[in-house]
Amino acid sequence: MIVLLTSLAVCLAIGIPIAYSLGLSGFFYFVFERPEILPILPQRFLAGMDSYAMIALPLFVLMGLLMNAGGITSRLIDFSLLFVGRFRGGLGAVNVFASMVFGGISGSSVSDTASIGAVLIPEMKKKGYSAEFASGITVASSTMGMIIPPSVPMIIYALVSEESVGKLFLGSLIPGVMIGFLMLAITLAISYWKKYPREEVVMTGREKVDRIKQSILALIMPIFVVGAVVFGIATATESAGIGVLYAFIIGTFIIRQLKFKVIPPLMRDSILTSANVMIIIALSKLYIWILALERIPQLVAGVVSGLELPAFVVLLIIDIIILITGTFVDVSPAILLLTPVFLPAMNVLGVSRIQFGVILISGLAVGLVTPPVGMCLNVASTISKLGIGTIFRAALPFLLSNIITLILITYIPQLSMWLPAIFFD
Amino acid sequence: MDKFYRIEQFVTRLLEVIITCLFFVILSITITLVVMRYGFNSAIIGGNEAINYLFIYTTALGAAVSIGKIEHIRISFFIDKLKQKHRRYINILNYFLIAFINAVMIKYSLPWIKSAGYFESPVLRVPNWTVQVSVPIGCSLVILYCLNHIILEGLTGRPPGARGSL
Repeated sequence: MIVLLTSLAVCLAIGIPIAYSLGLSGFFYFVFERPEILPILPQRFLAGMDSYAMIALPLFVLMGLLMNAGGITSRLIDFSLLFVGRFRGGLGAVNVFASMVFGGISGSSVSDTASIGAVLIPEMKKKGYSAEFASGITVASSTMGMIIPPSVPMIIYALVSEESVGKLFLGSLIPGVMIGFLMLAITLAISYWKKYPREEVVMTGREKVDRIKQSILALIMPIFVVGAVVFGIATATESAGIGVLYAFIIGTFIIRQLKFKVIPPLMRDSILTSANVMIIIALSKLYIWILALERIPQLVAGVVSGLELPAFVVLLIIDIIILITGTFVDVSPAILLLTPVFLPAMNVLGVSRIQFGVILISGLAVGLVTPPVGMCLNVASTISKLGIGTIFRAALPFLLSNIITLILITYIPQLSMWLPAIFFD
Repeated sequence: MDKFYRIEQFVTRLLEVIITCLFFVILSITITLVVMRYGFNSAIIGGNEAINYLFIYTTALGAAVSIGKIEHIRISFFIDKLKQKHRRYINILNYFLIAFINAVMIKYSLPWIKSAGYFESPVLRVPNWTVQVSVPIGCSLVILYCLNHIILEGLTGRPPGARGSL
């Protein structure tokens, strides 16, 4: 076991891609500990890639990309302006509100930062907001993208934990919306303090109705996609496939901004993103299998129950471990590495798989906005030309809403369990 | 050296076209399956199995393309702190190790395919080797990309992605 963990740590530290670090550590484990089962390496690898449920991954990514290319971002911003633009610091509020809605459509925080940031960061700077405030709020609000359903990391977690995707989608809805409203409150408070301007919505009544109509068509998509999974009408893969078709129809025939020539590059990007994650999943299954072989999850569960610490202290420690892991490791591999280790311990503590999934993904989402590997920070840095350290400091007040929500969902299971219980029990 | 860059670009573009086409087929079958089920109360026999197999190929080939474009997810925090010269040596070592684990996969996949490849899949009745062979194909491409990057980085000192990625 020492061979597995040491070689994994060394491979990761010297910058070998996570997928191949897992493969190499598995190989060294077999060579030193179980040479007789080394020939099964390719079988485990193929078994790891063979997952019908994970076909939803590139389809969800493509759905978000099509919506974005179809001009939905500017419509969502206009739509958000109608509701929250009139408050002091209206554009900041629009940024948060649009991210809440966009999160439901794209399922990805990075694309949220890229698309909303590209429009709102320059616009906010023009209206007198500081570049730091505009960038900080953009990256912090984009963390909702991977929490509000449909969420790509939730699908990955569902695969590892063998939990229902529908239940996880429902479980993450309240925490995602909570983060949104808390962030909205923080934004309005800072804007009031710094005397940021209100927005005047210059639109005729008819224009407002048109904008709402066009936005509504996009807004019902996540309800439709998540609803299809929750009510068992379609599998996650099928509902993502239909979501792609729906996004294509909306972008091409309703909003009329989606050009045919951009579709093949978007498809290529989606499937390459998926391949990057799938290869980690394939080789992490080997790692998970070795962990099971060595009874590591049971060992961790035994240690947790033997600690004789109050459950709330253990949960707090696990929250901190998740936050630290998210700071250094990307979301998908972090889910794959932490879930098999912590899930049995969660069972001992009486935390359900749904609740743990929501805790895990909400905690890891913060890592997207923390140096050194916060992907949203890099995107916002490119747009705003500010350093990632500066953006991170500006995002800190808003991240308070993520931390408060993380603590609440850790200690109040109903926040993540209530909706799944209503629809599934 | 430009010849190596050009060959890599051509191979990458070709693989991208192939996986995009495979993805289009996956998407088409997925949508058709839902439409058939709710519109015509029918199904495509073996549809799910087919998209599963195509997805395996997109992963195997896509992972190779990601090595070519240096897009794999990794922790670069420590290596970024090194001097350019040392980073170059570490990068070369990394490509050797990636090539090595893929060579191991090929070594053990060939006897496995030989012994179990003739079994047929449950619905489509296609021999298993048609899917199993995606492992050595994908791994071979990864090795080729790694060797190319070792040559480029070793001889020119420039990271391959500087010109190699599309």
